[in-house]
Amino acid sequence: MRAPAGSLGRLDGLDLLRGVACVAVVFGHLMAWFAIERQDWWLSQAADTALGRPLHLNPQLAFIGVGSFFLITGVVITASAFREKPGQFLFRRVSRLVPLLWAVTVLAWIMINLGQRITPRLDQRLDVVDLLIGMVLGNFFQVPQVAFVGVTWTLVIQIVFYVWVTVTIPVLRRRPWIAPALAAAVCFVGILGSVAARGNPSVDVRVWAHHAGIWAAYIPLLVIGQIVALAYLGRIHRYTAVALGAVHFLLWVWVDRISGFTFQGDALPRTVMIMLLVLLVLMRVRGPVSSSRFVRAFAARTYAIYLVHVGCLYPVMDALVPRIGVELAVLTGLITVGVVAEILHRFVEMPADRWLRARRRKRPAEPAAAERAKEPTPA
Amino acid sequence: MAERARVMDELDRERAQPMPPGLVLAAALAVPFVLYSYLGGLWLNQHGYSPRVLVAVREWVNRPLGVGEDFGVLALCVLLLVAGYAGAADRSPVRAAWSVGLPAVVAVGAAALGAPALVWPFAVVAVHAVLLLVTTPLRARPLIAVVVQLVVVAGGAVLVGAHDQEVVDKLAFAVLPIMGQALWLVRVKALTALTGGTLVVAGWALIAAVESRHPAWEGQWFPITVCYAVLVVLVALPSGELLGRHAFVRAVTARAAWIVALIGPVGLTVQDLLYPATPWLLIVLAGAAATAASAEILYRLPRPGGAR
Repeated sequence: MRAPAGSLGRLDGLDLLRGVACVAVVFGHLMAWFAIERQDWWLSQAADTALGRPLHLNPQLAFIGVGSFFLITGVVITASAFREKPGQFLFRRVSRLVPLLWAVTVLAWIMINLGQRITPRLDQRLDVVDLLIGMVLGNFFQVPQVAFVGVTWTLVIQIVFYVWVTVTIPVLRRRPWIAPALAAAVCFVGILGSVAARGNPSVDVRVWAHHAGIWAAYIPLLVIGQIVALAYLGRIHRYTAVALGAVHFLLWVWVDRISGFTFQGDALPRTVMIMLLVLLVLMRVRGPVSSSRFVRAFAARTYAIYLVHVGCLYPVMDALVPRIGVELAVLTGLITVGVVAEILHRFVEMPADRWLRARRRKRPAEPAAAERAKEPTPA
Repeated sequence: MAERARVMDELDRERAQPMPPGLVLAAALAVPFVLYSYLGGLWLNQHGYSPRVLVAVREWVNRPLGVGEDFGVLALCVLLLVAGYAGAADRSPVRAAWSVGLPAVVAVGAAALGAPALVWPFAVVAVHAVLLLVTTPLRARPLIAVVVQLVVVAGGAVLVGAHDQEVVDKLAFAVLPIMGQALWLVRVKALTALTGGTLVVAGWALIAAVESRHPAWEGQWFPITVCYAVLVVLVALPSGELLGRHAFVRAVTARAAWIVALIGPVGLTVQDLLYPATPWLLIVLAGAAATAASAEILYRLPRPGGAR
């Protein structure tokens, strides 16, 4: 059954996929802790035996989660782009991201200055300027780079995509196929330019070209999600969607071949293809599991979990593994992630979102409450 | 007893439904990939050709995705899944198997005469037909029936594997029609999606287990190929409303078994006859055309009762 024009309807299957992606991200970083500590853990070996080796995926099943999040973001954002004005679209996306990002960045800053390791790499002490830079994700552009809340590198990509969608909204509404086609051209030039700039004598040029190359490398995944949504909404023909999707997938393969833009392993194309097929299957799924309250609640908290999980897991693991053993330390770490994410979701993310929406609601162009309820969480 | 009778009545009612257009489309799309693989990629390499287009497709698609044999096994896996779905949906497993019976006889006959032929896909369908027949008493308990079939295939793989690895390498693919059967059971609500999904994962796990134990499968990456095939069929199942009903697409699907059977004895033989005097592109096109034409002729041959 097709959703009404301009709306994807409630896609329970995407909530399920969002939950799976979140678990995959947490699992990957948990396993990364063992890799950093040069320890083996039975769950890591079991995952490798059951999935990693048979499907020839990346070590620690890397990129299953992040790749899925990129695809999901592309899907859900596209529907919003048809409902909202460009300024409103960008405001809503940023208003969902920023409050929790700021809260977690402040917490991370405090923990780093207390000597805690909250990313795979141990950051040195950070001053207030570093904090302010980190709150606008500027830490990724510092030389040498500051890890801070390391997982937020994906937010940079998402924000670049939001800006791109904002700029192309008029085109997207009139000739929807042009937006992804244009994105392919821009990404192609971006990757090409970035590769060409690798030999540039200027450090600044090399650094910025590298960042632009990384954006251009990952944006095709979000655009593939956008293409899925456009086909699902009936805005482009399915053959057009297949052709555009193939172009963006080949861009992704190209990125994998030339190297230097990704770091998760050599199985990125097949990881993305598997997750894309899973996404296409789950978009049609509506069952007792996918529409359960637990899955919906978990999906709503994935952004909070995404931001806090490394910062909670690593200090807990560092402190407890030598004292109480691996299994109990992992359990304690996961409970800590759950509790902190729940607190931040209830007392920061949702109140801030409600407050910002209430301020915006006074303006006349705001869509109805029922439409807002369909708004997905960013991660 | 009343509950079992109700389940059987419902299943019989569902069996009257035609195959979903999405599966018709998936099977039709698989056919050119089988031709491309066996008449194109593999034959060209065996005869010393490495056209740029073939190398490019391998470099940019096959290798990154992990799909080997130029999509041939992937396409056959899709066809086996569809065959399993169709076999389960048919009122008579014997009749379902009979629909590929003549092509199977041709393939086996050609192989017996020393001609190249793809026999193993038909052997897999035959194994599934036997399993369906043996588990007929369990039709009212579809979950148990599918579990029994999986156990039999797994047990067979273990027992036969001790003596003949080559047989077990192909026998393991018998889980594909069983997976197709599980998909049909979910489709007709005889199984929940969760149960059906678990059975499909169990089938995939058997393929993964065979890969880890049999050296012949090393480097073939069959588990990921099977994974793609299952996902492609799942994506196709609720789709294809327009193309899947198209007469040409239905015609290709209907002739799929004949095309698979004749690729070796007709397609490869024609190609070997034309080699090396003819340019490779013409050889490949001639092989594909000869296979398609012979499949069409044999498909149109009259059968007793008009059955295809």
